[in-house]
Amino acid sequence: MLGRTVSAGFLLVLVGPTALAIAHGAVLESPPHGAVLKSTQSAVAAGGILTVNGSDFDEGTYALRLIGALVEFDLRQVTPNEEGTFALELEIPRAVRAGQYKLTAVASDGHAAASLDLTILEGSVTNEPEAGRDLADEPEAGHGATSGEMARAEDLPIERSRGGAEWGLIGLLIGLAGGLGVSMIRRA
Amino acid sequence: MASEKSDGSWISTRLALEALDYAIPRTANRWTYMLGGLTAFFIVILIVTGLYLAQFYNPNPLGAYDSVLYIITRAPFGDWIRSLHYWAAGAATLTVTAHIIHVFWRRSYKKPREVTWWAGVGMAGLLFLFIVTGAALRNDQEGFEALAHFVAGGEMTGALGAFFTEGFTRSTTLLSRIYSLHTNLLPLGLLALLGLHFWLIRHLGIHAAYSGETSVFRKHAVRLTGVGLVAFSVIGLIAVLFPTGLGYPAVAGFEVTKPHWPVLWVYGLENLLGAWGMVLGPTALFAFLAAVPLLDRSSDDTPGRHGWVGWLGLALGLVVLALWLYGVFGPRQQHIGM
Repeated sequence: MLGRTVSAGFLLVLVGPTALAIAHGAVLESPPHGAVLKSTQSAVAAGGILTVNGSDFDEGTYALRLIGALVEFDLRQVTPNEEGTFALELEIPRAVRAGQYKLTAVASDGHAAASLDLTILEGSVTNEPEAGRDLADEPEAGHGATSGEMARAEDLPIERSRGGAEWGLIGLLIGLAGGLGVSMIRRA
Repeated sequence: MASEKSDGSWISTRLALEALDYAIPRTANRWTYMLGGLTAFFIVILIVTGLYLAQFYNPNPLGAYDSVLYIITRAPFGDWIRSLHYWAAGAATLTVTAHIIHVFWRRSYKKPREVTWWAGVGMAGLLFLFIVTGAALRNDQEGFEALAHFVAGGEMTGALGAFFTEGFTRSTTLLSRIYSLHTNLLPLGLLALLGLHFWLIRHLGIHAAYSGETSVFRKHAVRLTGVGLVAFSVIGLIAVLFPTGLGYPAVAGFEVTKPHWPVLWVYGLENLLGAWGMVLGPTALFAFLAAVPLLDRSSDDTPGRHGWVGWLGLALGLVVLALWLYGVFGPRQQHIGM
């Protein structure tokens, strides 16, 4: 019994998270390769100018997007020259909240051709509405407090949407653990 | 080979699990003697769920809050696993508290088990630190205030608390160091003490009510694992029904939240003593627990006959309970003048 428990433990502890990580990786886009985005700046204030150089891009038009954990901003389109390079100055919208982002060149077929890590620093306070698309479908998500706001003690209302498969797996895991546990207590 | 199949022991033979077939008092299979093992089971849940959360969490102050929101709304199973982490921490707090009370009542800290007790008290202290550092990682209003408490406590205690001040280093942020503490240093300390605790229990035995009847440890381990799996199942269900939340983004300069429930007794003390409460309260509690084997010197080890040490322990326990209730129902107050 203990031997089987050890096996089940190994499965739960090692295989479970590994399988989850692989499954998560499988639904992600292919990592960028070939093309390169570079900037001499690793940080820029919201409302500021970022100088960007691209090289080794294939022919075509690319959308430059600023992608955060929860929001995404379309900045502009760019078409590399015949040598696959470009150099431009990007204006970072004032409405972008301070945080860590990836500046990503997205090809017309939707794949990320290249990206670079970028820190956006707090710019001047603005009333301009945020133009980014909210990926979390959550009104407050990604919107930080600006000066003048009052602190709030309560929890943020969050839309927790989970797929049926996810609920099913969670239910299965809970049921299996409970069933196996009761069986082990009875046997012992 | 037939015998291997009959008791499912292919793995048992290869992993030498027969070594677990040593005699233990039959009383060890009672529920009250499983509280420590159950806490260890919760620690395993905390480690596994913590490892998963670490794949998505960003310890940079600029990205921490969004990454937690990402875990809740977008990471696969993220909301459930984070809630599981939260509820397992609460369950571990309950079982470790009950375990300490039971061991204290039985006076199991007496010779030769003083070090076993100290290792346990050390783990309880680390668990407390896990909870306060974990709360800071949310980086919402409550997390921000927790971080500000670390800074204030660090500044009040001088060199002892230098690690928690912004001036400790310019090369990284306090949040990043709290993250490192929560995911590296504290787990290393916890596992070391857990190993020591188990080693001593194995070789010194437990101070159980011994009726002369024995069992084997392997049976105890199977029963304990069963109890742990049922506990996992219950916590998993609670995590589904009551997922843990996240506060609003922090606004500096305000102190408006109360901490996580295991820390509310410290909050109550801060209401009475100000910021020093967060230093004096836990220090007094854990100093008393550490001193118990030194204070209770009588050669008799009958459970419940501690003399004045028992009364002191009871008084301290009641004070903590009263402070906790005051923390729950008392007013919200400014403690550190943010």
